[in-house]
Amino acid sequence: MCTGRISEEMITRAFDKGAGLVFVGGCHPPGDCHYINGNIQCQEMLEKIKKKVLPEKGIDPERLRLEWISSAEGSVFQKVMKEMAEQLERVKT
Amino acid sequence: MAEAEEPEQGTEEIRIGVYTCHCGLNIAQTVDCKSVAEYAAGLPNVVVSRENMYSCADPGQIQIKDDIEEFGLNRVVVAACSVKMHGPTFMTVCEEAGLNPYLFQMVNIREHCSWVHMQDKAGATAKAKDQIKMAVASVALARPLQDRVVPVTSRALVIGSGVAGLQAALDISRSGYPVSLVEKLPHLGGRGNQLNRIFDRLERISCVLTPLIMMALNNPLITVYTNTDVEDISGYVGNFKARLKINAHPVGDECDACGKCAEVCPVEVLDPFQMRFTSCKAISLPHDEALPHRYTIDREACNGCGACVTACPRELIDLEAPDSTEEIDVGAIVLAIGSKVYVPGEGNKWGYDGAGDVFTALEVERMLAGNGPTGGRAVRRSDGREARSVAFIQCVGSRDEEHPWCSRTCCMTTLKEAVTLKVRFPQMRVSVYHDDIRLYKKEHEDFYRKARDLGVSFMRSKPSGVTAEGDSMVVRAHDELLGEETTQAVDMVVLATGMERPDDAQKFGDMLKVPASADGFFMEAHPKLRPLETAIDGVMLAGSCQFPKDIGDSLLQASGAAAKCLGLLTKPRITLDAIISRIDQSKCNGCLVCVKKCPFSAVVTDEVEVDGKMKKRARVIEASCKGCGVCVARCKQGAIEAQGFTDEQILAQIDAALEEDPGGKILALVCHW
Repeated sequence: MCTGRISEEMITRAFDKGAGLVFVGGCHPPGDCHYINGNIQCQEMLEKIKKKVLPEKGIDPERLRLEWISSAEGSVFQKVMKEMAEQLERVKT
Repeated sequence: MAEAEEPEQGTEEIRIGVYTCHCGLNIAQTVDCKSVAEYAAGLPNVVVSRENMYSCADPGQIQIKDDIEEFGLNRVVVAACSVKMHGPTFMTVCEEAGLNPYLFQMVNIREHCSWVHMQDKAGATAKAKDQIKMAVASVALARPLQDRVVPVTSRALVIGSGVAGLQAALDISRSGYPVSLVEKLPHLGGRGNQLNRIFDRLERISCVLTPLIMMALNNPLITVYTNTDVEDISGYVGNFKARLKINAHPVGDECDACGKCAEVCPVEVLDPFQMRFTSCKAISLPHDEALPHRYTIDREACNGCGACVTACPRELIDLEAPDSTEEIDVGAIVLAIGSKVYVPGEGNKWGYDGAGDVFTALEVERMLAGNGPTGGRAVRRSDGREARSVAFIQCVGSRDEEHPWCSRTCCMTTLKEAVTLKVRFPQMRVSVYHDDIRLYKKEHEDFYRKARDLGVSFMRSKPSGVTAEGDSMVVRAHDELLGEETTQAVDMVVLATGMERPDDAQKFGDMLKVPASADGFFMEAHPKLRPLETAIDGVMLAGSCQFPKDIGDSLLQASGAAAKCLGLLTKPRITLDAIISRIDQSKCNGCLVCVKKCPFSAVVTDEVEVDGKMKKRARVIEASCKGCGVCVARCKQGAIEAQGFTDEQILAQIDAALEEDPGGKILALVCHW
């Protein structure tokens, strides 16, 4: 299953349930996606959600973050998670 | 497999067993497994919850089987390591106990929890509970699924004809299966061709390479493609389709290498085989043992004058010969594309510029070869004088910031070249600047001793720079044992250059989706359990495209990769998992966005009669579907289901994850490739 599987409903459901932050992670475009272009299709959808859907709901689009991180980039994943954890602390207060 | 008997939705009583694994201390030293198991026992539909020291060991497996029978479990959750590690183990356990394996779900509380939260036991325990709650919510909605059975094309594709590719092709053919062996250059054998003698017994390279090539060329089961590029590969395990671009050979197969063409050719080029020490004609034989033994044309250098065409006594040369394309079906693939030798770039501290008296190990290899440019003598580029002193420098392009890996072959290459020089020229002063001398095979240490006995001096120091001063090359270094700066003037410096990922790694990585590690070399599926396979089923690795290897290790791995291919090719059919999309045509409105968006062209259009009229409806070709779920996310009608990852299951997981303290959580939706 690819990030391209993620639907608008999944993102909105998470925020409706009060999620602090939502992270979407997949493989680097263009070539790394194991499903050819599912990552790009996910990116297109998330951009729409960030631009339209979340603002309409009054949710700060910055609470949704997309990153491309390969299976060999553990340190990148760690860095992103640390940043998000710090961001979460700010969002909570 | 257990029959998939699907009870009517909503009538089945869900009975879940949850098994929390300690994994020795891997999980248990961070996660309070007892408290997790007690928590799981109270989750909806859970009828039994247990802890195990090792769920994957026999007692753990037997426990699950017994519980399925005793408690009538119809769903199983194991909270342990990665599903990539032991998913198949527990699916088999369920299947053997008569439970459809897709009614099992794995929770990764090791890599995803205990290993990354070692400093926060309470947090890790709370997270493990949430992870299990999510799985319990999801597995309750799981439905039994059937694996797909697909035929296997019993032919292998081997890409690259170095020692590794040749050995893999030969081993597969020895079991009676056909192989397509593809080489991008006009001749077989790869980088090995340029070596002189090979360690550790100093046999000539042709004693290894020529028999391998001849056996491949003479084997009716091996179809050899030279001068051929792999343009595209599509499909999946057991059923790949490769498109080959066969670049025309302007010189016909019957060439007897008489050489008349080269005599009349007016174009001279620096000979790449001889590392540009000498020149050759645009039409040439790369070396006297090249196989297939025929002349070939450097198309970039050729001016198209046609002198060779008229000179060829057998009229075999056609400068207009067209390229062609061929599509082949194969069941398994061996990637054996080798590696690239590091060449220091402009302004490097070793003073290498390809013109002066600093050489790479491969350049010296050509010099020492009987069929080399200097007849086996170490000759300076600057003045043509024979060198009386040579300094080798280790770890050039290895174990530095840009190349953090050990290239594994350079220590022995240096010892081999140093010993060869000392044996041929006993008066020569030979020294080696090294960090560590890394020798790991049984006869290598003897070689080290031999080098020392012959008078090669070893200095534990990394040179800070090499400069041309007067008639000499001056090496400056900090001697770590003496603790002082040293300066030595020599006639010649040799750099023990390392290996880098090959230029084609990106192309094949993208084409086959084989992942590379941070160093750029192809990554194996698992370093211990699946070192010969890639994460892409049906694609194996051989040779130094995985990491630097010597010839012996490359041959060893190639035989292993061949065995892995045979494991596929010998089966008429294989099973593929059931994680694919399925379309309910009664809900489909024919918008066909799924047909347009499917990355694999796996969704097709049917003409279906609806209320007496023919309507377009989408359908998934099961064997082609890879289960990415792109179509599911795009379908506005809710007509497509991602089997094993349905909307209901994922939404149930989201709800479960966010039931408590949602504002304090980051929910991650990540690729499950």
